[in-house]
Amino acid sequence: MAIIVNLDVMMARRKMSLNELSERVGVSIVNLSILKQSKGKAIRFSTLESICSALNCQPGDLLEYRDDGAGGE
Amino acid sequence: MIIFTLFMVVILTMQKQNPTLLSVVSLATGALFLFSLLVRQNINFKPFFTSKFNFLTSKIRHQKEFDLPKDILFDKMMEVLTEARFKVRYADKGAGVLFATSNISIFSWGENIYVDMAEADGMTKVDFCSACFFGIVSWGKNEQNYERLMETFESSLII
Repeated sequence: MAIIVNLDVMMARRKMSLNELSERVGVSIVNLSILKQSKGKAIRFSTLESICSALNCQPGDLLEYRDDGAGGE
Repeated sequence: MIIFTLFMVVILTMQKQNPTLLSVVSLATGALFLFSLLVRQNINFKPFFTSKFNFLTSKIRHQKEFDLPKDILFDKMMEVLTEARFKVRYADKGAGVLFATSNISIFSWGENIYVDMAEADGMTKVDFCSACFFGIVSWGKNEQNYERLMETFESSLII
């Protein structure tokens, strides 16, 4: 997966648990776990906005592109 | 439901010609129907409904692998089943077993949905089985159930 979700890193920096983030953002713990593991298919702008607001960060802090050498696949 | 009603009409019509045999057949069918209706929501009767030897219950099976840990997938599947308008009747997270039923409609008495999960090589293998609780033909309801579940699952990955 070329796009990495650094949700766990940001949560650790803000010392916020998954439960707390789930309550603040209004997204279920299961969905946040899937997102944290970069297994989601897509992320809505509204969800991204809520997460950024709850973690007081920028979208760029959460999402990262890594070239995995698969020719952009 | 329509098929069952038609079946009962045929039985009642033919009863005039050979009363004894048809009485036995209709009684046995009726008893089996009532038995299936009574036990359909009981997880202990899963082998009865999913058995390949039970030709009176039409069923389909699908197997799919997911790149998600079993614990997360189990919770997700619970969420997805509810979202897809199935009623979760039994859930055992440790064993990775889920049992749900679909609603009764004018065309169907409802189907039993069995989902079994097993973790292997970092993947989770999911066995899906949709079985009519009574009916030789499902009229595509079982396939529709599987497609509805998978569509809901796929769309739920857009977070």
